[in-house]
Formats: sequence, structure tokens, C-alpha cells
Amino acid sequence: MNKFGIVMLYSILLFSNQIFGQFNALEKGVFSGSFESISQWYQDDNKIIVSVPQDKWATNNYLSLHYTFGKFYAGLQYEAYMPPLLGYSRKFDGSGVAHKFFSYRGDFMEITVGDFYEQFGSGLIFRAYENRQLGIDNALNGVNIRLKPSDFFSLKLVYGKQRKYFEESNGILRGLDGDLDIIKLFKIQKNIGLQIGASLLSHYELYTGADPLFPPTVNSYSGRLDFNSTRLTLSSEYVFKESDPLDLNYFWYKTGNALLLNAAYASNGLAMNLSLRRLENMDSRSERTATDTELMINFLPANTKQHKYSLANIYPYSAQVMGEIGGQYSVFYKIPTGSLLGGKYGTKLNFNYSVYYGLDTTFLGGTQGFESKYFAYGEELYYQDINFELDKKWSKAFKTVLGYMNQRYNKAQVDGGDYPIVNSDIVFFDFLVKFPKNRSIRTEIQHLSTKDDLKSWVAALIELNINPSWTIYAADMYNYGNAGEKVHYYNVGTSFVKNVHRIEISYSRQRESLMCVGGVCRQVPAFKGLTLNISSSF
Amino acid sequence: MKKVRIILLVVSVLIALGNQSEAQTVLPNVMVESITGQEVSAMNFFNDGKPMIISFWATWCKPCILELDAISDEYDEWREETGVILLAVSIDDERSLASVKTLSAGRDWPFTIYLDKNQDLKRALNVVNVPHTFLLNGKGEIVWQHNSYVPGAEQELYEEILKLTENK
Repeated sequence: MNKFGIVMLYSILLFSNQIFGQFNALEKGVFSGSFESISQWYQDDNKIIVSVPQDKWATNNYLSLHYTFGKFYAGLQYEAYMPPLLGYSRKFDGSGVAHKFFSYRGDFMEITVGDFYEQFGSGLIFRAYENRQLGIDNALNGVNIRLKPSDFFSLKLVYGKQRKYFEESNGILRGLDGDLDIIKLFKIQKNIGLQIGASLLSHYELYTGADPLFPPTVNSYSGRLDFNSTRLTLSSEYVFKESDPLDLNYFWYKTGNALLLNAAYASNGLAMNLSLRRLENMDSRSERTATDTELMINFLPANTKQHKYSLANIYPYSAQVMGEIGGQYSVFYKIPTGSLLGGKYGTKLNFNYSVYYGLDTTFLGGTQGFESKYFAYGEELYYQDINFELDKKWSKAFKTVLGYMNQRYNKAQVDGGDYPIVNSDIVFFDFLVKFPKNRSIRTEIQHLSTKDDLKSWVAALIELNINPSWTIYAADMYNYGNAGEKVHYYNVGTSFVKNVHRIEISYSRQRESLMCVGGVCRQVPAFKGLTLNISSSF
Repeated sequence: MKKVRIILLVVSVLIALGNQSEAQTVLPNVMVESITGQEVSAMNFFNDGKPMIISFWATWCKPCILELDAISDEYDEWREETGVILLAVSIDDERSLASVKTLSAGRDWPFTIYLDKNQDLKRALNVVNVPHTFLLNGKGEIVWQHNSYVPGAEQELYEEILKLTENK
């Protein structure tokens, strides 16, 4: 970012009220934004064998500014990584305006020029999104048009290049997505929904190699069908991707495909859903040499339950995009209030079963990779998770959650390397006691037992909420079963919240782990030190 | 030099904040999806001149579920006394989207649920993380907002709602 830009940005900020105030007086424009800052200070620690970087300080900062003026909407996002926190790519080093956009939002048409986020269908074919915790921001810089010519038909169009740190991808993306509402089209007077949709996405990157058969342009196609009634939901999507040779798929000329089927039933107090998914060679990037979580075109999260407790996240599954088949089934049930088991406040139950296998494949060699049987699973189990949670409110002041989980994790497949399957049993107990004047204590006790990998763990957390503003917490995870070094991974901290302004300071020792948010994972390194987190919106 | 820039930036933001007399007041024209897949503009959220709570949440967010459970237990009383309604806007993505409907039904929540799966509304309202709760008055203007949840904090929200209804 040049000096002129910086001066402009500061001027806008400094004089925002004056500048926008003028508009406010005339047309009621609104200026708003948010700010988030995470800073860390690192210490040496020979228990977890970390050598701190030469610069012991690191900080990630994000400032978003939005301005709304009638049907016009504009914004920018300034980011500063000085240097980036451990675990984020060093390529973020520096600062600058990462996004800027201008939108018009009319009734039939919405146009955005600049940086934007968008998703087609369930995202299996295309999704541009931001996830700061994972350092993912694949916003497209270009043009996004959303059209709604009638109440039964809508169209989305995207054209642009993905963000790559503070630069742009070499590849270009363009796509078209349409939705047709059958019920509205035929003016059926029933409380149901039936939609069909289709997408086309094409990406191109210059190819300078010698192979005349190499595809510099790759097209993907998808179709979907969704049905909704008050109680029942059925949805499905199928994606086909043309031959897309990449570093990450060994430059195989193989095509890819994905199938997603969801069924859900929901009534008051009882609900369940079944989700099945099959992926085959679905990794898709806008540059052929992209690695890690760079320049992802589509969104392929793990289709398993996302756990809230720390020991349940030691072995998190991430989707095996080269090939996997499986699904999950969940039930939510509230035992009615007033019944014997329900008590005065009702008792809430949740059961979930998730399982994923590799595909049933035959290797072909050469540039074709493999072929596979469609509705068959291979011999290798990738992940299995059976879990049960019971949530009970005993009185206005006392609430408990009790849970059990059995997990089988194919560490060799998910993390890479040579490991046996980790089979673990986890129990967790969480209780909350409320006191007058908004004071409360929340405690978690967890245990993971396994004979495999790093053996058994125990974890505990205590959280004191002194009033709606102040919270103090202390947590520890201890790998007591490990044959080698037994380590305490602790985290103590405090947070202060006033309306939308929040400050949190903590001191922790963190293990090297796979951190997953929304089913997409990033390896985070071990560290010990201080973290300061500030967020605010205005 | 870089540190100087950061300090400059922070100072500028603070000054801008200080100058900002008028906060975000109304809901923008941003589309979210109803639980049955219909697109709805946030601009059209409506409660017939009575207050409205908009709560951003996600199925994987523990404090969000605690908050919505707590409000759910008091909801009948709140509605009777003040006519308030709560719209629960889920920011879940495809990973957990399927369980938004089942989790909320399974926990018997009496709220209207909306899906903000592309997080357009979350961004437009400058929500950094969930839970984030907005309170709107009868004219649809945002009068109060709060980030994060600790048990008992719903009482603070209720007091804000009472301020709105008692002033009438």
C-alpha cells in the first residue's frame, strides 16, 4: 500500500464524522465498522520444545469500515500483520487495504464491484469466504451480480480473481448460478418449497508446459434439488469437475465428482437428520501450485459433528478430498417438561453417529490416478465417532451437561505418517451454578482414555463470571498417560466485555495441533506466551 | 515505521469512534434465508411496532446455545409483558447447516430462525464473533447491542426491552 493510500485512509477515519456527517444530515447515510486485534508474546519452553522466533511479538489486526447510503453500500478492510501470529503464513507479513468494494442493492438487482464473498449451492462447487482464525480469505476481486427478475427465479454471476495474501491469484474464476422455485412458478398454494438449481464454474490459469492435452481451463458443473415442508427437508447436490491437474492431486488428469444428500425431520422437541456424502478428487485451486489452505475454490468441510469440548478435538476429522464416502446421523430430543424424566425444565438429548471410509479404488498408474466403484466403501476406515450428550437444567440456578463419545481416528490418513488407528473413549461433565447478581461458575471435567498414540488425557476448566462484564478462567489439559514427557497445557485468562467492546488477555501453553473451524483445518504450532485479543464494532 | 503506522491507525479509529455520534440504526437490505429456503431481506424484519431481538448464533457455539436456551425459558413471559420477538440468525456454514433446523427444533426453541450462510448480514452489521445480540425498537432502529454471553446476562437484555416499552 502506498503512502498516499495510508494518508487517505487516516484522513477518512479522522474526518469520518465530518465527511459522512454531511451525508447523514441530507440522506441518513450510516457509517459503521469493526475492529479486531490479536497479539502474542512468545516465550521459550523446553517442555514442548519450541524455539521462539527472533521477534518475540506478533500481531494480526483487522479493521472493516462500511458505509451505507440509501441503496449504495461501500466498504474496505485494512489488515496489518506485524509479523503474523505463529501458525499463519509468513506471506501475510505486512499491511494494507485487503478489500475494497462498492455495491448497489436494488430490488431486482444487486451489483458488487471489488472484493466480495459468494457461494453456489452448498459450496461443493464454489465458495469464497473468510475465516480469520484459519487465515483463510479467498474473496474474489471482480464483479458479482445477483439478479431476481421474478419471485421464482434468481441468478448469480461472478467474475474475478481470488485474494492471495496481499496479492491476487494468477488464475481467474467465472461462474453462473441459477435457482428456480417450482412452487412459486406454478403458484401452488401450499406451505412447501421445491427448488432446483444449477451452477457452472470455470477457472483458467496460463499453462506454459509442453503437453498439448493439458487443460488450462477447468469447468465444473453442478445440479441440486431441495424440498422443504414444515417438518421435512430433503436436499441433494451433485458436482462434476473436469480434469484438473494440480500439485495437490499429483497432476493426475482425472476428473472429480461429489454427491451430497441430506434428509431432516423436525418437530417441536424431536428432530433428526441424515447426511451422506461422497467425494472423489474434488480439490480445486485457482493456482496449480497452491498448498495448504491457499486459493481454495470450493468448500469441503468434514461432514461430521463439530465438537465443543477440548479433548473431543484432539483428533478432529478433516475431509479427505481425494476420496471418501460416509455420513452422519443426529437426533435431538427434548423430554417434555413436567414428565418424570423431563422435570420442571425438560431434559435435552443429542445423539450423533458419524462414519467415513476411503473409496473402493483400483489404481491405474500414469496420469489417470485411480478408478473407483461409486456406491461402495473401501477397506480403510478414516473416521468414526459415536457420541451422546445429555443436557439437564435442574433448577433456575443449576444446569449440567453429561456426555460420552467413542472415536476412531485414522491418524495416518488424516495427519499423514505411519500410525495405527487411534481408538479413544471420552467422557465429559459440565456444570453451571448461578448465583444472585449475575454471578456464575462453570466447570468442565473431561477424560480421554486410549492405549494408542499419546495415550490418555485429563482436562479441567473453571470459569468464573463475576458479572456480565468480567470473566476469569483457568484450564488445563494433561497428557498423564504418555510414556514420554507428560506435559500440562494450561490456559489462564480474563475477559472484559462492555456492550460490543471486548478485551481478553490470557497466558497459555498450547500444543501443536490441528485446529479446525467449520471443518476446515490448519496445523497450529506449539507455543507458550501471552495473548491479547481486542474486538469492537461501531 | 510499521509500529508507528499501527499506533496511528488505532488512534484514528478511536477518534473516529469518538466522533461517531450516530451508530448503525436500521437493518440493511441484505438477504438471509428462512428455514424453508425462502430469501428474506433483513430490511423487512418486522414486529408490528414492538421491540425485536436479533441474535446471531451458531450450532457449534456453546455460549450461543446457553443464551438461546435461557431466553427460551423466559420467552413466554417476555412476550406477554413486552410483545418482543426474537429472530435467531444462524451463521453456520455447510458443515453444520443441516443441524440448525434439527437442533433448534430438538431444543424446542420458540424463535424464528434465519440462515446467513454466506455471512452477508453478519458482515453488514459488523458482527465479529458470536453470540452477538441486537435490540431494535418498534421503529426498527438498533438501540442496543451486546457481544458474548455469560449466564444471567439475559436479564440485562430484558431490562433494555422494558426501557423501550415503559417509555411509551
